[in-house]
Amino acid sequence: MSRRVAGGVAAKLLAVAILYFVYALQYQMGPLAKPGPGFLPAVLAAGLAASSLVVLFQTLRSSESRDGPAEMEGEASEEATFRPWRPAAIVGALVGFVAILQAVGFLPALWGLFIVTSKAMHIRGWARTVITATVLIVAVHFVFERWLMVPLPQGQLISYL
Amino acid sequence: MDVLGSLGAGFSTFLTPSYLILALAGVVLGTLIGVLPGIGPVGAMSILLGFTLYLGPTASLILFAGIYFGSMYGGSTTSILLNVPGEAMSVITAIDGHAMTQRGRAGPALFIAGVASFVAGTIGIVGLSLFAPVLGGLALEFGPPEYFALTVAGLLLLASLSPGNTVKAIVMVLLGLAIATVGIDKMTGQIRFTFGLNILSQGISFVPVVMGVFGVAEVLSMAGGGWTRRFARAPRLRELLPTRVEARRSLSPMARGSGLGFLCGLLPGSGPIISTFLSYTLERRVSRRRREFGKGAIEGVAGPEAANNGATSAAFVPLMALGLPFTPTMALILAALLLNGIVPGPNFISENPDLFWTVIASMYVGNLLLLLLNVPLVGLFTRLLSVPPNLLMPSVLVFATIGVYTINNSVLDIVVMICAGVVALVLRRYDYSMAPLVLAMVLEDTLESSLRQSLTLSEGSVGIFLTRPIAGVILAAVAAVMAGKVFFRVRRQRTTSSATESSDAGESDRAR
Repeated sequence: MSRRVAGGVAAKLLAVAILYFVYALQYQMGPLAKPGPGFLPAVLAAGLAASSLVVLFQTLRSSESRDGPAEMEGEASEEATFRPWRPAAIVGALVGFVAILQAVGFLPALWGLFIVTSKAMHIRGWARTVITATVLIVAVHFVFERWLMVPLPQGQLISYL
Repeated sequence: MDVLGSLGAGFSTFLTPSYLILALAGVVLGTLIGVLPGIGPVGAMSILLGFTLYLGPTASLILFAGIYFGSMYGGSTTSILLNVPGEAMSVITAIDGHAMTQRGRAGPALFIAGVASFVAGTIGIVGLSLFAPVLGGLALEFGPPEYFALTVAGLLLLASLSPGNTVKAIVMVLLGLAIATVGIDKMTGQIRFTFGLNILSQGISFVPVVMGVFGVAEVLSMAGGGWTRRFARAPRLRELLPTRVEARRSLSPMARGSGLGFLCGLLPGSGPIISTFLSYTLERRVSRRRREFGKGAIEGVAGPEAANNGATSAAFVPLMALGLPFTPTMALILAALLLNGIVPGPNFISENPDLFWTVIASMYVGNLLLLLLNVPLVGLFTRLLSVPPNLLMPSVLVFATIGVYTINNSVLDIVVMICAGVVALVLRRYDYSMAPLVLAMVLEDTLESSLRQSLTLSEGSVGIFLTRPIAGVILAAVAAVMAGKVFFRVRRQRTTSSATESSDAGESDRAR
C-alpha cells in the first residue's frame, strides 16, 4: 500500500506541474531577449513535470523489482507504528483554532489548541493538562499582550461580555 | 578601519548585559535543541522568527547564531552517549563516539568533542571575519549572470549532495521555485497564480511555510510516529579529562577538520554534513591506527566534530558577503534580517559594520560560553535526555502559532502554516527532503530577476552564462560535481550487479 501511495504522491506532483504549466501559459512569455512573467514558470513547470515523471517511474520500477511478501511485511510494520489519528486530531485542533479564533479570541482558542494537542500527544492527567494550559496562556498574555504590545484578536465573545 | 579595529568596536558594542544575556540564552537554547529529540535548529529558529521583529536585527542575529552553534555542540552529546544523533551533522560522531562510550570512555569523547567544536568554531569565525569582507568587496563586481550562476549552483548542489534521492530533491527545488512565483511579478507588476484570490496577490510568505514544514510537520510526525524516553549515565566531572595520548592524538584531526570544514561550509549545499563525512574519511586514511576506526578511535570524534563547527561558521560567509543563503538555517537568518528591514548583499558589511562586527564578537563569546557550559554541565544536559519529547510538543505548536501570527497579524499565515505542515508530513514520509524546497523559495526572486536581466543584457543569448568567466567557472564546477555523482553511481551499480552475478554463478555451480 505504501508504495502505491508513494506512486500516488509522484502522480499528484505531476498533476500539479501540468496545472501550473496551463496557468503559466496565460502569462506573456516574451522573446528570449525580453522574457515575460510567464517565461520562468513555464520552464519550471516543464522541469517539475519531467522530474516528477522520473520519480513516478523509479517508484513503479522499484515496486516491480522487489520481492512482494518480504516488502509487504516491512511496510505493514511501518504502517502499524504510524498512528494517523494523532496527527489528524492535531490538524483538526489547528483548523478548529482558526475557525473559532474570531469568535472566542486568540488566547482562549490557543488554550483549547494546547489541551487537544496534549491529549493527542498522549499526555496523561486532565487536571495537570488544564493547569499547564492555563499557566501558559496567562504567561503568553503578559509577555505578548502586556509587555510586547502584540495586538492579538480579542474575539466577539469577550467584547460582547 | 582594519579588521582588528572593527572587531574591537564590535566587542565594545556587544559587551552589554542585554546582548550577553541573549547570547547566553541562544547557546543554552541551541544546546537543548541539539540534545533533545524532535525540533531541530531550523524548526526552533523558524518558531522564533516572528519574535525577531521585537528584538531588532543585531539581537536577532546574536540569538540565532547562538542557537545554531549551540545545536552543533548539543547534537554530539546524544551521538556519543546514546548513538542517537541529535542533528544530521552528528551522525559520523556517533560511530567512534558511541564506541568509546561502550568502552567506558564517554567522558573523554565528550570533552574532545567540546574542545574540537570550540577550536574549529573559533578558527571558522576568524576565517569569517577575514573572508566575508573580502568576498563582499569582490561581489560588487558581480552582475546578473554571476548571481544566476550562484543561485543555480546553490540549488543544484544542495539537491545533488543531500542524502537521499537526488531527483526527489530536484522536484522539491522546482516546487519551491514554483510556490515563490505566486504573487506580483516584480519586473512587470503582473499578478500571477492567485486563482482569483486577492489575498494571494502579495505571494506566499516564506515564514509560515518554513514554520509549517519544520515546526508543525515535526509535531505531527512525532504524534504519529511515537517517541521513546531515553536514559543515559552522565560521566562525572573527573571522568571527562582525556589521557595525554588521547589529547595528543586529537590535535591534528582537530586542525585538519577545522580547515576542511571551513572550506566545505563555503560551498553551496549541505556543507556541514558533507564536511563530517570527508573529515572521517581523511582521518581514517592518514591514521596509523586505521583498524581502531569504528571501535572507538578518538580521531573519529575530533575530526568530524571540528569539521561541522568550521563549516557552520563558513556558512555565514555567502550570506554576509553576497546576500545569498545556501542552507535552510541561513535562509532563516536572512528572513530575520529582511523582517527588520535589512537587505543583505555585497554592501551589507560596508553599510552595516556595527551589526556585522557585533555579531562576529557575539560568535567568539558564544563559542567560549559553549565550551565553558557544555563540558562541565554535560551531566545536566544528559539528564534532560530523559524528558519525554511529547511534553514539549504542545508548547512548540502554541509558540509557532503565536510566532506566525505576530509577523503580519494575519490569520492567512496560520492557514498557510497548517497546510505546509500537512503537505510536508506526507512528503517527508515518502523521502522528499524539505530543505531544497525552503531554500528554493528564498532564492527564487534572485534567480528569476538575474535570469531575465541576463537574457535582456545578452539580447537573448544563453551563452552569456558561459562566456562571463566567473559565471562560466561556477556553472562548469556544478556540472562537474553532477557528472561525478552520476559516474560514481553508475560505477557502483555495475560493481553491485557484477558481484550479484558472480555470487549467483557460484551458487548455481554448487547446486550442480
